[in-house]
Amino acid sequence: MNRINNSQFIALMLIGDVFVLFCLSGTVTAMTATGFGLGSLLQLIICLPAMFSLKKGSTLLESGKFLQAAALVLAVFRGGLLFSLLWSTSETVYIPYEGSGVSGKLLVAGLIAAVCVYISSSGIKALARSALIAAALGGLCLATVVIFALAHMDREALEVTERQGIFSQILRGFGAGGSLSSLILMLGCTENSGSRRKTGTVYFFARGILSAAVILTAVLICGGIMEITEFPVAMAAQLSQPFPVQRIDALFLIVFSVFAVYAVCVEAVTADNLLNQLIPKLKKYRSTAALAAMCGVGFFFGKALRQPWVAAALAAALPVMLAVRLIFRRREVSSSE
Amino acid sequence: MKKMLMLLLFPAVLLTGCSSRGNVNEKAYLRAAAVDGDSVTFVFFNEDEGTVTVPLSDPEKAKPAAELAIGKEIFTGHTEIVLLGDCDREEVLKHILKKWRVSPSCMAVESDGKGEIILKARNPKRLTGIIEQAQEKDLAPKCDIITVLSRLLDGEPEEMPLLSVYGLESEK
Amino acid sequence: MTRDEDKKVIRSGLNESLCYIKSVTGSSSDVLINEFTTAGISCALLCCDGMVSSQAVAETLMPALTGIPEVKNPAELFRCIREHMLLSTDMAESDDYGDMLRRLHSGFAILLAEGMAKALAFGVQGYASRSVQEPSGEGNILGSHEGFTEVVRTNMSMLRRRLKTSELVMKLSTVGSKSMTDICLCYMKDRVPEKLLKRIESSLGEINLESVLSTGYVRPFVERRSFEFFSSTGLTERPDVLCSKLVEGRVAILVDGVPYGIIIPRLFCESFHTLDDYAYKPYYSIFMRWIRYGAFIIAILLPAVYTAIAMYHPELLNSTLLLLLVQEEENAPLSIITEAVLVLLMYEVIREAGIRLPKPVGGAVSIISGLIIGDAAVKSGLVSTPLLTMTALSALGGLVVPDLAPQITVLRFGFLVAGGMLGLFGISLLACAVLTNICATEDYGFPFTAPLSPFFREGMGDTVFRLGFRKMQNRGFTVEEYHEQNK
Repeated sequence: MNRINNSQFIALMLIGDVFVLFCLSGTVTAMTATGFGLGSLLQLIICLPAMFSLKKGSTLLESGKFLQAAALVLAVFRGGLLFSLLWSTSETVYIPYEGSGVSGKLLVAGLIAAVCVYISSSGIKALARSALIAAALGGLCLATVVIFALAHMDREALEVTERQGIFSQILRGFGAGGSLSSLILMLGCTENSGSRRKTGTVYFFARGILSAAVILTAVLICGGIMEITEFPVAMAAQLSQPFPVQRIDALFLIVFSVFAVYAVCVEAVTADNLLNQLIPKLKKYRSTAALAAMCGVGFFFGKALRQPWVAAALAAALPVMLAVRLIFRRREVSSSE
Repeated sequence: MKKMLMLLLFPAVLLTGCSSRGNVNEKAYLRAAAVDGDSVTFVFFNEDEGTVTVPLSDPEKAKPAAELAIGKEIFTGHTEIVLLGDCDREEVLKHILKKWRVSPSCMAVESDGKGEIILKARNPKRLTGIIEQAQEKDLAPKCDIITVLSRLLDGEPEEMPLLSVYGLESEK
Repeated sequence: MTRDEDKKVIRSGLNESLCYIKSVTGSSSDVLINEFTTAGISCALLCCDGMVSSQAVAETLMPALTGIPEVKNPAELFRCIREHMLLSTDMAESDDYGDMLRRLHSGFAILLAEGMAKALAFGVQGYASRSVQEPSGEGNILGSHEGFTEVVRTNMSMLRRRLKTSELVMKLSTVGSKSMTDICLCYMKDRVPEKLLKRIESSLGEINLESVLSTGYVRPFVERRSFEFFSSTGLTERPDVLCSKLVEGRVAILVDGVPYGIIIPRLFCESFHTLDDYAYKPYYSIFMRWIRYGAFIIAILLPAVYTAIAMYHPELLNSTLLLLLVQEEENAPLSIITEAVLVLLMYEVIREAGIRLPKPVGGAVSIISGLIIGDAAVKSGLVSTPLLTMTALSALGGLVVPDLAPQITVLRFGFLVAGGMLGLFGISLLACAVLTNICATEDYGFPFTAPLSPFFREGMGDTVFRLGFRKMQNRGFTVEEYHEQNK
């Protein structure tokens, strides 16, 4: 598999995480921001065994068939979740045809899938390079939107008036953040094998800080109307208005669409590489099959996947399996000695 | 494979009827609206489209009825001012924000009497100008839809400028 | 001439040889054969009419060749000419007819002698060629106004004049079985990556065409086979630009008959660089560079974004602009996207006509396009003024970056269709695909999007900004820094 550098890896992963934040639904408060930050920290902890094995040169593509199959299934489910989030949010962000019912949804999914097929066929290097540029430009656009939106901020919204369980927010943050199959696969593709743990750690910290910042911004801007806001981050972007006669929510639509494509692409490339290992004879249509499966999963199980505990369980599955494998291996090594 | 995909997708997208999408001149652009207890009044940017009053209290049902009356799709994204009369203001503003997708700077004001009469008597452009001037001179509270709705949701007392046929009224 | 005939050794009998040459050349009228006797040996001087300098032949060659004292044998004659007479700066010996005829057709005068199975070739070229003129494209204000010409040797001399170093190597070879076109591989031997050079040489060896008449014949062989929207090789008409690229360790290919040099590898950001950037002060250069970046974006996206906003996202226009647009579109019989496609097509037709038409007709095209199409179409309501304005701005933006003109033309249409069908969402999807295609462009291990992605901080000094020469002078940049395998 081709090599990518650390900044490309971080950009790839963060794009998917930011997209999930865009699709965040329900009320968010300062407690949610804290929960997301701690959720990232928790993910870092459970991913440490996986990162240790990467340090020793054992990548996901070299692990056993069972783990690869599990990672593939999780990547497909993660992709399905992304499609489901896309469908639920797209009407709010003015994607045309989204309101046209099932056919509109399928059209939107089909178009994104077609672009993802093309991007994944170009290889992981092209994906990583373009993701870095997209992340940088997207960040600039978002910063512009946020700066103008902050003119309408309400500082009082930061006060947590109700007692919200921190643990439920941590669960929410844990489930929303990170596609760990892709993370472990892509981390194994980074150039310098010695710095993979550091890169992974930097990524988790960056994600935690970014998630907290985005959510706090949404809280500050949507504060007063949070209870009627279905998608706080998307609504916060739409409230950005540099001049009374000029709106710039188009910037958010563009960033949303681009990040959606790359978020799905990451899962598609992960699934493609895992399918290549599991079924080498399947030379053509790997990405297409994976994307079709993701669409199907998103369509039929989307609602269930969006439940925080389901998302959290799916996120935790692979790192836990890797940790168990590592423990068993160590026991085997120590007993053989 | 990629070529097949493109060959399949392109006609599929065309068949979705995108070519029949409304031209920019085939829509009516809403400038101001008044929601009274028993009717909803729509005033458009284009003076040829005039003012349409629909005898329905629910804005959700009133909009399609108005579209039938003028024979065009109504685009509400540029609404500048909404006059609220005798209606459930919180629900009306929620609907306007979410479904009409108005600009965050759209003004929500209280109407002294029927909003329909005010809109028929006064130019909405002048009404928005009056309120902006009053806000600049601290004679009227901030009344963009987001601020007004936030206050309503927080249970705070309603603070909206009061408009009548004669212009901005002092507080009752 | 077939490949076997190509390698046929020159016959020692003069008459036999001349008969053979006449049969191979089909007794072509431009092949002049002058038989004479010198030093007691029958000889023949062959040249192509119009390819040699008559003055050089008449004043240098002929008097010298006819004045040779008697020798024992033809070998002695040839030795005498080679070692004791300096008849031209480019003198060569040919053993086979292939090489001899190639030199004959390249403007050499060929000397054959009775009993000698070799030919002597004297470089006395004097064919008509265009003088060094200002390049037609790549205009600049403060830099040189010299451009390449169609003669590869003149171009080589222009490079040598600018890089007076023995590190500059220029290797001539021929491609095209019929055209035998001279191509020159240029590089700085202390800067060029060895692997890059070997791969390019091997790629050139794969050319199996009958004729090579422009750089377009050569470029596909030195680029990757997969579909790439943007070329990873560049073209330039300017010797100063080519020299600056050679100093960075790149390889250049000059093709005889074409006033352009091919640069390998090329980076995307270099399409926005001009030599004037290095002539002005950095603050102005940075400003102009960003104008070019902006112009590129406008050229590709403006019609598409306008169409998308008008059709799908009118809330993004302010109300005054929107009403203006509504008013203008009121009488337009066609939908915005159809209008936009037609206007862009009209522009492309006019542009193509402007390039192809004979100069006397040029004025008529200006009148037709400007007055009739522009003015009358708007007044009749066929086309709206805002749309025409957007198209004009987009066209102007495209002219700022002529290097990318083909890509801009096609992408402009692509984005327009995407925007017309799916609004800003469609534009975003296509942008992702195009961005990925650009990032996938990589030949010889040099990423096309370097130094943006992969990110090289040092490279930003001549991409996003333009650092002053005092800061750049110690950097010693070569393109090898961007090579992926080195990281």
